[in-house]
Amino acid sequence: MLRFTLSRLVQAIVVVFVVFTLTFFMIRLAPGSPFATGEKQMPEEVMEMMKRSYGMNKPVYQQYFGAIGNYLQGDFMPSMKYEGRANAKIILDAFPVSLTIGISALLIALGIGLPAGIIAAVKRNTFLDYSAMSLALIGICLPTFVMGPFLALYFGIKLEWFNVAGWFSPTDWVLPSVTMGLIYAAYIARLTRGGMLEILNQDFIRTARAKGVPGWKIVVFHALKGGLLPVVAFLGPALAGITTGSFIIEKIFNLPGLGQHVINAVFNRDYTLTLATVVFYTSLLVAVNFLTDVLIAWLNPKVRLA
Amino acid sequence: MSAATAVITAPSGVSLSKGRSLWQDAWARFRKNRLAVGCTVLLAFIGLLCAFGPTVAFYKFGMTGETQDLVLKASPPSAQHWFGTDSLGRDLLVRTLEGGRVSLKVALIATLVALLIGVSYGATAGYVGGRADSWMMRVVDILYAMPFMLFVILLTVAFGKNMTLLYLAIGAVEWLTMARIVRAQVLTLARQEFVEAARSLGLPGRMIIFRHIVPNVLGPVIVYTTLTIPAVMLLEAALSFLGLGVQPPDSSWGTLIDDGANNMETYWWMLAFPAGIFSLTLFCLNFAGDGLRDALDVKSGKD
Amino acid sequence: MSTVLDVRDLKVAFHTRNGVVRAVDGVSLSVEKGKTTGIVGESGSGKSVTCYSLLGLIPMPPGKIEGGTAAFGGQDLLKLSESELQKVRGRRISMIFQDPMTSLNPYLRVGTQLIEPLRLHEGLSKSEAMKRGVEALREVGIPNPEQRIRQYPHEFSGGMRQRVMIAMALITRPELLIADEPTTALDVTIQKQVLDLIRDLQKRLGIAVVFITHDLAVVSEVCDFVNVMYAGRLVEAAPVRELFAQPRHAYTRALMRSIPALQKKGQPLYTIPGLPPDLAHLPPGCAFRPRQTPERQALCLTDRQPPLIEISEGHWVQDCPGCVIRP
Repeated sequence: MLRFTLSRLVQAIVVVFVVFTLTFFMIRLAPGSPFATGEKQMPEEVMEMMKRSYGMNKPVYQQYFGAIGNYLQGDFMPSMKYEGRANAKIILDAFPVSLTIGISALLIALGIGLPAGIIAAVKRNTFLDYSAMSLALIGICLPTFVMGPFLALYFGIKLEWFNVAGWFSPTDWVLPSVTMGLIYAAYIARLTRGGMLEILNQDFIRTARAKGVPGWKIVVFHALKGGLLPVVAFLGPALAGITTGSFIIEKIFNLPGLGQHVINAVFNRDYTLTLATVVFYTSLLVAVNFLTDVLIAWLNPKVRLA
Repeated sequence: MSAATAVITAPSGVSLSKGRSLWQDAWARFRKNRLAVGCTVLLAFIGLLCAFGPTVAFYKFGMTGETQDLVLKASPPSAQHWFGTDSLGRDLLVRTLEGGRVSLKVALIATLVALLIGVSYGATAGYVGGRADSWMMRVVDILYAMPFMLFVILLTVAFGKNMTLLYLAIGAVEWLTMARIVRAQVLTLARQEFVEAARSLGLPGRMIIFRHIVPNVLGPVIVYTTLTIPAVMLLEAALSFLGLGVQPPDSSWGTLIDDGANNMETYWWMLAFPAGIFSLTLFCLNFAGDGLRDALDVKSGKD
Repeated sequence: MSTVLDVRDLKVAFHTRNGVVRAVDGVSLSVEKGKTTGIVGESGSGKSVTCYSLLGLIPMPPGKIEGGTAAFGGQDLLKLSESELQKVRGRRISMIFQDPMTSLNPYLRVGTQLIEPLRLHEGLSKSEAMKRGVEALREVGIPNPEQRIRQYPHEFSGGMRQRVMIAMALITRPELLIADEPTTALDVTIQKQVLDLIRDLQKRLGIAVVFITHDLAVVSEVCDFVNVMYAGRLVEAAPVRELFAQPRHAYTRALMRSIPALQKKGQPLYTIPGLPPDLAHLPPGCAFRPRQTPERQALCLTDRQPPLIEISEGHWVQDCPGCVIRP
């Protein structure tokens, strides 16, 4: 187990490093410059001064190692577009919004998906099962950018329960979270049902029944541990999906989250902000993947004791 | 498990049947699944509509997705415009079908890209085995953990709205899982007894690969491909929705939904129809894929 | 000699898309305290379904108990509700299964599973139950039970796992143990150990055992009384020595002929010609008829199921003129 954990940790660090490097160079390969301002042409000297202040007059690899050095010290450097503002601060201001939506969505997804999947598996091939799985399929086929506007249209405009844009009132998190939550609930429901069914068909469940263990206890104590494995495995990709989904959600509902910063940073050729946001997101994803990998390994007694 | 397997039906009184190949078995099973068959038919219908509909519209009605009617502007569904029109008076049905052409084209090509890269990579790794295989898979593991979406966004924004780039980028996101699946299949197959048997009979490697391994790998590959297509479509639509994928004057379902979402308060049909068709297509793809999976995978069991 | 279990005319059918499969078609048997009753038959003969249906363990949507009674401890098992059955399972009647590799929950420690019946049926606390668990493991011959009890199933070998299963089944001192082919998946040397263990425990605890198997050699080792099943019906039943000495039904005789160890070296092994019948389309008469030689086939009953008669004391056989050898 320890060896497994360490190797995963090393892999995680490698990924962040590779992403860092790739992003650093890719954004600089893109045509255009961070200082182009459209109609107004910046005078040469001002441009030179700006470049120097960001260290861009140095050769590229020097900038690269400089950046590595900075990041290792926790300095995410200042933004090029938003003058004077530290990237770290930009991220820290915007991230809580994305985080709230992401976590609420995940909780909604688990809260609806897990019970639905378990019930569908236990009562398989009954009406409950079919209806749950049909709803789940609809959830999978409706992408966020379809579900979001629909929900906004109905609950926001028609019923006027919620705002459809902005991040002002305390209920503004509802529609965005529910949009993403429902879709992931669908995936989780299907995965849970599949996982539980596989376990429930195993011989050791028959043994448990033969011992007189009542139905619900079989589900909770005998089946759940193995049956939830696919869901735990899914958490990694789910979080990746929620991350990218947040870009879309933030666009639909006009939320000041981190997603729009990523896109805008690239649009604006804001080298440092691009790097900062990408590295931030990657580190987050990598950390979650690492934790879920370790969790799965731990849940499997054969791996845990190896 | 290759080519022909005789099937002995156990109960006495029933004659030993001639024998059905696995593919015939699978086809029979698939046919029984009426939902999957229905969805496949519907998909074919949508595909044909998108392929030929706009041409029909042009020759019969003299209309394309770009024909503006600035007098009419945006109008709800009517007899002349079944899906209504958008804010420039363009017929939405034709636009939807044209958008479908683009979306489906991107989906198929990107899937093909993913297929080509994934299958070759995975098959090589699986067949070669040993250290080369474990290094190759480690690369896949690392790539898997990278947030590809971010890179796709980076690429598409930075390098302009190039359709080829789009195909490559989307394909690059999906090939990893295909590689894993193919490699797992090849790995187990290459070491199975019937391959040993074939080799001991003196069959050359090339023959072993083509007659024994490839047919057995095809199953999971087909299944995963049918799952990749909707994923790719979603990805393209998401990118287009964000403004990063297909660019005007081209339009795909993603861009149409984006327009629709922006106008949904006043012109609901601009969102409803493209979104509806898009979801319907995804829905059918998923069901057909599920049906294929049930038909091809002997072990997946009924549930 | 008290009868622990008395099954009369049990009928179990499965309503599938391909028709109604009559897995058990009118079977009667009884089990005495302290004795081992064997049920022998091929795969698909209905031997397992017979026992599973007693505890309500067959899947009831396609499966249905269509008739019969099963008297146990003053109750009819077939008429009990699910919650009443749960009180019987694991406490008064226990089962052990064929494959010890898959019959234990790999995600739970052995101890947890082992003491589950105690906590469930006797309401013991965890520590009390664990003490009993260690004793149980010792009883079945597992060394170092205090450490082993905390381990996971995959850390045990096949034979040891089966011992754990036995310990788990007997920990509540049930009145009846149903053993469904417990040694089929084990090596021959381990088989003997497990069989000896079962016989040993039976003598010590005085429990009744139903032993399901397709292996006649095992039957001669462990059983006191044998029921031979074919196509969901009972074809012959007798005390073990009597059955081996005087097998009356053609099927029983054919089974005996097929025991590999009893055949001459260098000769092709004897197999019963033909295949077992399709249980969805059972013939109205003698079920064994299609596999008989043509001369005897002419004598087999074709219009009704041959009745069971007591051909000599304690020895019952399906009275089909084509299949039965009269004294």
